[in-house]
Amino acid sequence: MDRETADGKAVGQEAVGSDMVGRETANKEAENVEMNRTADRKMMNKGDCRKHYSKKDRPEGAGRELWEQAGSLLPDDAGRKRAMDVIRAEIAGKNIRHVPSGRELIVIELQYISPFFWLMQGILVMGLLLLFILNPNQERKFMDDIRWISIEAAWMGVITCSDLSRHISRGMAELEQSCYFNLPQMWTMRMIFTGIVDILLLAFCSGRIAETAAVPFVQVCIYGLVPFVLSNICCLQLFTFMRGGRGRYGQLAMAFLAGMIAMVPSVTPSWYEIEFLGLWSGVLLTGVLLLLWQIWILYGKMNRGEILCWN
Amino acid sequence: MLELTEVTKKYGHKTAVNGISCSLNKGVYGLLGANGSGKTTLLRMICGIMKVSAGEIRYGGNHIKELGAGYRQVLGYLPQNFGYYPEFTARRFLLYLAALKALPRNEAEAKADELFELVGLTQDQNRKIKTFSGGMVRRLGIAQALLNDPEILILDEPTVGLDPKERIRFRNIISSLSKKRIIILSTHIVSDVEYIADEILLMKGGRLLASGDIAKMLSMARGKVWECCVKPEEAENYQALYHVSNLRNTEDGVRLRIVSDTRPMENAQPVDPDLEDVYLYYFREEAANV
Repeated sequence: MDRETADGKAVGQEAVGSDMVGRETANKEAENVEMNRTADRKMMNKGDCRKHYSKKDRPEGAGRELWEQAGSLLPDDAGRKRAMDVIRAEIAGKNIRHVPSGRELIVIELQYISPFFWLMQGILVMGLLLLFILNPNQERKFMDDIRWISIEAAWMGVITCSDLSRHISRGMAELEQSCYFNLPQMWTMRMIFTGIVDILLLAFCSGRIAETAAVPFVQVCIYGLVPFVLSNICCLQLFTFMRGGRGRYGQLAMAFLAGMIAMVPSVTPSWYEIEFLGLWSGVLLTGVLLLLWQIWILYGKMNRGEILCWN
Repeated sequence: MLELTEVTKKYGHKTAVNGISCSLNKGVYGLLGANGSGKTTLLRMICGIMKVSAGEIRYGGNHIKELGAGYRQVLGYLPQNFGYYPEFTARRFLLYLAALKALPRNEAEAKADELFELVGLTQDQNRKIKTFSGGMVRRLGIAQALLNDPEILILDEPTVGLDPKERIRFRNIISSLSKKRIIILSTHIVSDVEYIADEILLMKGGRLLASGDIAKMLSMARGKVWECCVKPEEAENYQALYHVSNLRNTEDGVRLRIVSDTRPMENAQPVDPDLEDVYLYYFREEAANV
């Protein structure tokens, strides 16, 4: 059919006749080459398909017929091309997604921590610097130092938690939870980051106090960590159980609780005697366990979507 | 393909979503239902924000919980009440969400430019969001949902606060996006989905009441929509007796469009239903309680 059409054109269009003849010859040659290739492939396939079997292994009867048919099994080039085209189209249609590395996630997290958080953390660090570096008063009393470190520790918890609460109080939690890098991941990273920074700061301060007052470092650390852990527990309590108190009043309540925790040392200095150290350790251990339990509850609620949605 | 099988959500003894099953392919799905019908809860479960109490949701044959971050990466979501950090500019907001959606920075910058253009916020991209009007915030919300070129786009009441021009622009945007992805658009504004939805899902009391393309939905209300002209003093009686989808004062009297299984009066003529009539037909009780 094609050839007839091509012949018709060659007759009717004399001006291009010689070109057409040349092209036709080339086409015929190409067809011959393709036919030879197909024949070669058939031969190769025949050989490949049954070469491992000797004459005596060849089946008889119905099996013989199948054996003969197997010899004519050939790759379906057109079918294969169609299948490949479908696969290529599928690949082209795929949206290649970027999977961020852990380092990228940390950078993202640090990049978008609120200015309020940095400011408050900065104020805390400045306060500590003023207290222990710029004013290295050897005459300071141990209880004064403990009072200051308790206040700082309590506020560390408030600042961290109020920064975490922004996601919920600003109504962003639901949207953020639907993202690749979701809210529990963000919270985890932020808690680890701020927790490490805060604990290092407390350890530094404890070291200075221990040095000045000639009290064991671990003992001072425990005195500092107890208000830190307790303030964190109080703040998370607001998210976990007091769903309505997440806004402005929640923040005020947290600040109040932090102040109460920080006042404990000044009210009862006798509790800091060495004989109560076991009690302090027990409170710290219980506090840490309670905090972990709270975080576990809170994450469970987040994963169920219970505290993320406004309505 | 997104497959929902007997998806149920319970809050204590209250069942918000009750055994919904459906398969969603590429196209626009209009999720229609009265307030409190469970639309938002269903969308939250599809997004993976809320855990299902029973049933399962699968995407491409895999459970969405197992897909985890991989599923969230192909998801675009606009919540019904979405907040923002007021100190953020619109651009910073988009870049922030692009980062959470794991878009590389340079790609995010280019995409933000493209989307600001699409939603008409190019001139305002460096303004703080707290200075935006409600409609502008909504447009910003639509832009953020499209940041990662999602395969599943879920929009919960996307046109609330948009003026008619913005609403038309939004419809055109959604239509242009529908070929490549699954778009689920929840609303109780019928005209939002009438022109663009390939399929309508009607939800009532946490259940999927009916589903199908517009033609199928319209056929369900065929023979149940009537138009008649009454005297002005009678109009109120008819409103009390029937579900009136439209009322118009004319020179001859008051022309009523009534949704009813039976002919409301002798001279009432059956007319072709539109999607609002279908909605009213299915949500008669809710309409009566308003």
